[in-house]
Amino acid sequence: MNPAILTTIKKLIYFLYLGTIFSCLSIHGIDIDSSKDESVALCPNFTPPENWELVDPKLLSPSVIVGYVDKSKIGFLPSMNLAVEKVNVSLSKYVQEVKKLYQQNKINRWRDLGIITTKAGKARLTEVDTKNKWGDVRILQLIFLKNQTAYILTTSAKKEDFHNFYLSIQKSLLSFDLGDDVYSFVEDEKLPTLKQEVTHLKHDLLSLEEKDPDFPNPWITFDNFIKNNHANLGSFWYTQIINLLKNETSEERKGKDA
Amino acid sequence: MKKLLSTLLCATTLLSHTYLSADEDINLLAEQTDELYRVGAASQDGAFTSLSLSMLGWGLGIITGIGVLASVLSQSSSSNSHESCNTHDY
Repeated sequence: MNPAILTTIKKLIYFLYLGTIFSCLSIHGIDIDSSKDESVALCPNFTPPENWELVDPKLLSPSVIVGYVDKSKIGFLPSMNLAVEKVNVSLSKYVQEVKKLYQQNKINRWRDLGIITTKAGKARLTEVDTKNKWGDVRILQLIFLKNQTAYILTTSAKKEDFHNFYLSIQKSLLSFDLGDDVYSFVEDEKLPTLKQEVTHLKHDLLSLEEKDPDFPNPWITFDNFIKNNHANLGSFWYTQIINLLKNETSEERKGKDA
Repeated sequence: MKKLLSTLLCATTLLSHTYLSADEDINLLAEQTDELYRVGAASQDGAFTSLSLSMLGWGLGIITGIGVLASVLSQSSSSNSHESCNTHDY
């Protein structure tokens, strides 16, 4: 073979080889970056209706993160819960899929009630009327999608009683919000005091064993502080900050022991 | 020899890339299919939980009813036995 052609082929193979390597690197790089941007976990919050009680997490389905019921009533109790799901579809596609799921059962009557503007932004409100052996039941679902995550706020009550709870339910649905973390829901002027209280609480919890048995439970002081200063953020927010502090304190204690 | 090695190197690189891409594509497709198949799970879970929590009230109501009934029955049976004792006394 002509040496000039041979050199050209060699160069071609060499460039092809380099090109392949760079293409591999760039493809993987793009994948990693895009997935990072879209899968940022956000912290949800909503204010449940007044006097509705938090439900034992053991009673919740896998996707449901929190649930409340109105135990002041007898019989079919009105309830509300928040479920979260990782999705790879748009809001309209999600709503279509939900519609299909409910329409599989002919007892269900599914309706799209349109767009509702919550604190987090625009969401879709849907309604399902269904029947069971206790009578006609109405389910309202607020569907909100952000960062490839669907947030579903579901509430149910007997159809005939629904008008009694409608205002409080509507208030709760509109209160749905998303933040970077639990502290993002706190007003700017109140944030430094809260963080100071959190630091005190963590310090007290970590040094609890070293104190005498009469040392007051630091959670009581923190509970009073929250009731007096941050009651507007609701019981779900309170549950979340308590869980966060418990986890952080436990991690710090483990770190100390290690 | 050099030719053979460079050809082999190129072929291996190309094949491994193709294999990796194909593998990723299949995984992506599987993930997307799985996601599409499961879309709406949170909505169904939410509705199911909501209804089951609402029915807790019936459970509590039934338990209370059984409790009240049991106490009434036990009271009436004790008063009956008391009366019969009295009857015997008289």
